[in-house]
Amino acid sequence: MASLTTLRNSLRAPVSLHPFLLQNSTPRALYHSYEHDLPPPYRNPEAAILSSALAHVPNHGFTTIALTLGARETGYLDISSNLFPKGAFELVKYHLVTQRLGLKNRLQFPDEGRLGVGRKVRSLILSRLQANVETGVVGRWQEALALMSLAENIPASLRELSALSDEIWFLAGDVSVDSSWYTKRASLAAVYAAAEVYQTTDTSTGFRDTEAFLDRRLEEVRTIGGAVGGTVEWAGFQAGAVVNLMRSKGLRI
Amino acid sequence: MSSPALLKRFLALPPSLRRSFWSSSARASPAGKPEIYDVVCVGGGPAGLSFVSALKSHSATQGFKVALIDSQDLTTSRTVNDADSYSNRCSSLTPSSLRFLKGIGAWERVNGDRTQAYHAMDVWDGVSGSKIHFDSVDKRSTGLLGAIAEMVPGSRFRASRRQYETSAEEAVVATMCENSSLASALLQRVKDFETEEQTAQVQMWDKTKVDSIDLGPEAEDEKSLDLSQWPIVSTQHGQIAARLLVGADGANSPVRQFAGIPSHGWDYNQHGVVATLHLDRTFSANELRTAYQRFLPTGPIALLPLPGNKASLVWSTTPQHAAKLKSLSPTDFTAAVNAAFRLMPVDINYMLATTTTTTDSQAEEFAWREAATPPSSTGLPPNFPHITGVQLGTPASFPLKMRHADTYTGHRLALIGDAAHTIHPLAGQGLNLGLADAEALAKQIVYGMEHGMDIGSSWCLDGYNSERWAANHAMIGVVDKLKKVYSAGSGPVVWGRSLGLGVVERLGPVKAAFMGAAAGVR
Repeated sequence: MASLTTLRNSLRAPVSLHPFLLQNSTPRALYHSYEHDLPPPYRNPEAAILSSALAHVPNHGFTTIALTLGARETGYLDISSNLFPKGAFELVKYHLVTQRLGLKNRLQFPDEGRLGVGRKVRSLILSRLQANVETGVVGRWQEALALMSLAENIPASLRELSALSDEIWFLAGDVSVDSSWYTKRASLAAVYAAAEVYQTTDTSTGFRDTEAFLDRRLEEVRTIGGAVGGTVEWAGFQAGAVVNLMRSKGLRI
Repeated sequence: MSSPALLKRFLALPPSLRRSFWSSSARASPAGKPEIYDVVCVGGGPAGLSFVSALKSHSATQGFKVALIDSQDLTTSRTVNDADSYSNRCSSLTPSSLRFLKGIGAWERVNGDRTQAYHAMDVWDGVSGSKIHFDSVDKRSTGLLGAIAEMVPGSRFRASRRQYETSAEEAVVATMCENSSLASALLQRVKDFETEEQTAQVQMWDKTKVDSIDLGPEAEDEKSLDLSQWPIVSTQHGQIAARLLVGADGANSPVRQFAGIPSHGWDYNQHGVVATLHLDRTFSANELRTAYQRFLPTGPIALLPLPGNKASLVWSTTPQHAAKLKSLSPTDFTAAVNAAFRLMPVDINYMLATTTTTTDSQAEEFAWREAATPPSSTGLPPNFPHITGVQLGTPASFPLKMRHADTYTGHRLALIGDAAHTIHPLAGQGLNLGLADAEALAKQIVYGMEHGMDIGSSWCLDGYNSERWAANHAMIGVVDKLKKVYSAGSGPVVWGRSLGLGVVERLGPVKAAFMGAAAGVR
């Protein structure tokens, strides 16, 4: 409603001023286009403050102190952390968004396509988990998980998790157009979330245990997927068989 | 005569004659009217041949004009009488199948030296080692008191209830017979009908491919023969019309496709590996033999006895394992088969997954592992023989699937055998279901003849569908569930199935019921 009133006000202004007044309400498409890149998720001042704040996270954790230090470093006043009403959660969300968007640059697959979709998914998840390690955030990630679980932050966190799951499937080359689109993303989101939580407690060298944990979860998904698929197939077969049985006994259906 | 007069006389003729004078096409009769047969059986396998034999053995139908079409060569005998070599395709015939084959007079033509009856069956779980033993003593249902007595071994109550006398026939669980032996015996029986009185000859066309099956053409007028609802089979020998077309032509049945009957099911993603094996000791003809089956997570492996020191192997396993097994040398193959019966599933998977190409590597892997795996830990039956070799050229594999046609009958059409249903080989029921189908269809046709029905009408054929569809569906369902239950390698399913197997082992009446169902008791 507010955008409509601003639009009405801007259209009542002189014609020469229209471009200036409309630049903040450029329409954004609701679909993703290969021809046009998405606009950056953060505007320049916020992106600068958050990226330098992220560098302070290993020492200060996901707190407003890191935000303040980041603002100071980029040359803004300390009070600039008011740009982020949700406080430290915005720092967490910034990390999630940049890592999700950067995933396609971290890992690319050759075009021959000898790798199966399953192996690609595994590599993408491992790469994303490795990004947590490389940015130095994995030691403080339990704080981030706590922030994400706060009631006011849950919707945004789930949205980010589903966006990451979708991104991983997209990069692995999934082109399904049936209900398996939803089941695949749901199962991958669950596996990724479990692996990320496990990674925060992993003390092995090179996070070997996390890799083994991920392999076990993916194997379970395969087994359950096979079992569910088999059950659905069997149920369909049995339904037809009941009809055929009654027909064979003389019932006219 | 002058032409105007000729023309006038010509015009006085009736129109049909005038037309035939001018055009040659109207004069020619329709190209070769198809010859009408009472029963046309497409497919000369055991099901088709036994069906034709059954028809010819009944007085009501022995005068039928029957044609049998098969694409393989049926006339040359494919059985060798060499006691040292057995075909790798053997089937286990249940007592009810045997009763049917004896009834049509085919069993006496089977070479008795090449069949082997077995009297007991040992089945055990490859993961948990729980086992069940079937033999003729269990066949007789002993009721509740018997079940209670069985639970207290060594008691006088139990000893007082045991009956030790059994007839030789009752003691048999099933009989192993080579498929080629059975086929040639059935063929011999069909040929022998030619010499019997009142029995019309069976028109046998082998090495003949069915070019097409269509419905007949529309009738020219009301008085001429209307074959528009009759199936016409076109082969290189011409066209034949069938009052009843029987499809016994295997899993990819052209008759079923002509009928438009859909067939539902799924592929098992397993291959069945068959071979003929040599055992360590030679059994004489009057010794009691046992069949063995072990359920591994990758699929069941069965050892079925043949005469002398031979046995038949049926091993359902993953396609990768099947390919590996077929590529092994005879020594390695023998070691792999021994391993599949004696070692833990972990060892078996390791042995078959190794990419070593050195010969005899499997034999070495097996040798030290066998010493380290006590038989009691895997549930191996005490008298299990050692496999010493494999007959050259017999290891082969085929993909396994499950299919069941929606119905077995259509207008002037019936399906029997693999054309109607395909089943997993773990219970050895595939051929037996086909023979039961042939028996039921023949019985229904005899009934139809005796009651003056048109044998191709649904009035006659519905009885066959009603009798067999439900029974086959139940058997397919049970075998499919067994396969699914025994596919689990760990977890609660293994515990559940071991408990179930243990319970059935101890409950005589339940075990007897299972044995009766598997034997096809009707």
